[in-house]
Amino acid sequence: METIKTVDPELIDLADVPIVQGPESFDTFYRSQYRPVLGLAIVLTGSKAAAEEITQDAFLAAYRSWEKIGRYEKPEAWVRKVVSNRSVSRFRKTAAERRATERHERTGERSIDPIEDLDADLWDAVRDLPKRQAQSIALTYLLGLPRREVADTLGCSEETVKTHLHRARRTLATRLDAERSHRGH
Amino acid sequence: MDIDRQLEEASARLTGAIAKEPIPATPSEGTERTKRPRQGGVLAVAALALGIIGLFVVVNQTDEPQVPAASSTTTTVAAERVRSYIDFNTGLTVDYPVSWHRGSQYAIEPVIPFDPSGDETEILALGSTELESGASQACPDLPVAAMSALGVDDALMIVTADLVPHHGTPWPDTWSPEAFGPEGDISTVVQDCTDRFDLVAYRNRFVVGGESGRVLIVTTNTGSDTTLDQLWAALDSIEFIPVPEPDSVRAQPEWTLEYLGDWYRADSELMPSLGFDSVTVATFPLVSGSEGRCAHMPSRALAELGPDDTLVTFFFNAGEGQPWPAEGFDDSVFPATGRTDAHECADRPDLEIHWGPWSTGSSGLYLLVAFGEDVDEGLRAETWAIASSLTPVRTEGGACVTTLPAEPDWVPPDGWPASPSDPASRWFGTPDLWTSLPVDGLFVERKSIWWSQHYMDSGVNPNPDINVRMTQLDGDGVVFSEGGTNGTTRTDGLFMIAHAPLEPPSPGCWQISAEFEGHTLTYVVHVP
Repeated sequence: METIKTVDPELIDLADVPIVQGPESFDTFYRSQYRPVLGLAIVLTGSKAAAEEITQDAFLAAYRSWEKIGRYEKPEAWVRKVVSNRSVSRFRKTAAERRATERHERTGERSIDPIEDLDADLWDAVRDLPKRQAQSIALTYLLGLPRREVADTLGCSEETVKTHLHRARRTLATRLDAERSHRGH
Repeated sequence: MDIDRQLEEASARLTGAIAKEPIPATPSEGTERTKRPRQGGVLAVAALALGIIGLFVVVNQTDEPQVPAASSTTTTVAAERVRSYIDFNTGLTVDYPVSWHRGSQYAIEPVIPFDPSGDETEILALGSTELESGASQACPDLPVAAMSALGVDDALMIVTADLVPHHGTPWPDTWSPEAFGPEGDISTVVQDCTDRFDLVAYRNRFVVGGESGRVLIVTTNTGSDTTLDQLWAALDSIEFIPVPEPDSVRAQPEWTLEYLGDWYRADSELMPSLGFDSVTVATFPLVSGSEGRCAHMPSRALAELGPDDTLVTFFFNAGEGQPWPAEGFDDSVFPATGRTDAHECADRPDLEIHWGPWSTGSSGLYLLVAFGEDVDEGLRAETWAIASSLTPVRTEGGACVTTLPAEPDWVPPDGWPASPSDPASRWFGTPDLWTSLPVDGLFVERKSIWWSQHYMDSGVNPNPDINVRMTQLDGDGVVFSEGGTNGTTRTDGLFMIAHAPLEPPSPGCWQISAEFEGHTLTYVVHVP
């Protein structure tokens, strides 16, 4: 599989990356993939604002290297991988949240979105899982990816994904049951 | 309802909600991410562009946990407590379990600097057990002592950076044995070097952001999944983030202050009625305002301080105070003060305020450090490092702000003379690492000589691991010296001599940083 040198948009010299159209135009790719990728980031960060920042960063990086990434069999897999990793990175997440806060301060937008409240207990529990388990859950359930693609995204075997999912489901079931019992009392 | 169905239904609801979200404009060449505004000509330079020749932050980054290290922070991720480390030179960040141990830089592979073909330097050493330093002549580029000491359920990883970039494999997003490639399995070599046939090791060279370095991992074939998971998770967590270049401000004729480039700075305008100069740096935009009985406090700025913000203000009132702490400020040296004017003037009783007078003998100031209630240990350590970076200086050679010895003279520990034999020089540094500085700040070519209370027996270690960087502040020049020998004179005692002499190749303003056993000493000279 072809790989690119870096995933960090700030480390890609735009002047060295001629922008040409690949098999699919970047615009088409962006419009078809933005929402699923944003959803992935929301699930993994818990913050719509931070998710928007991370998603934009990833697509910007893809845009700048579209000559190369656009030729991948599944360029969306590259973006998913970038977003998936950045969303669970404390440093990236913190930076994205800070930028989002500053943007909201400037624009007067509100910083809390109803999307963040949707099934908040469940997604909070997902985010409390070990990173790989949380990523496996988000890629499997939210994006509906087959195990093979989840494994490709996470850089592990299908068996490992299966294990992550099994452990994640078990932990989630236990935690959510415990929370329900707690509330019941 | 079973968890599978809950996840499916929640995913469907979220997908439905996101389907109503507008799609922002397509990123284009003109797209600019929102950047934090900068003040006062502050520069932000991706540290990766600097590679390992980046500037040292003038703080000791390698002190271990009791005193918060400048680049260490403790946090909680999921259910697992991890410690995060940032290497300010390369921008490497890593999360690792608190139960793991991080070796001091350069401590684990001491032979590498002396390997004729070795042109790499260690930037990260982590182990599930304490890492012992030491190699062997037969295996000069492997941490033989650390590998040999691994328990049956231990693992270690070492990341080095090449001084000159090499070709290599792109840095993987996720790590596994396969990431090291078909040639990456060096278990046989490691087993031969250690006589430990249970060790499993992988090593390869990787490239990121135009820089290259090697990653070595060593585990045992008896190790648990937990240890392996921790190892892979730590590797997966490694990122190379753009680190703001330390910026410097001439705070007063007598002082310079170093702070990170994405902090905000305001000078005396913050407290226009104060009556003497001040400098404030903070993690948030600074708003001017201090009137009446609160003219002596940055009241408006303190009022704006968020829960995860910090602020440092130096009031150059030239008064007298406690002796300036040689090892820098922290919570123990400068504990939080009770109710202060800062609380009153900002109407912020929730703030953690450290407030008091300090003096170097010839100059004095008041220091105010304010923390929001949710500041994590990393930012706390960074804040103290910035407060500690205030350094007495004077100007020579145009804009070059050179470092001068402290007044009164700093005196080394017992066993060394109270002043150097050269009458035109004075001691400068700490007991951990010191040198002699010209009293006038002008550079004189000489051997690169360093002293330390940790280097007292040349017989035990004739070749001390002293590393010296000379970085031109007004140009691109960089000279790096790894390793050294020793010398002794009746008048100056035992000292280390870095391999490369102190001979900057061009005139200008040069920052000289030495590192020995995790202790760093930095100063600036003008080379005429």
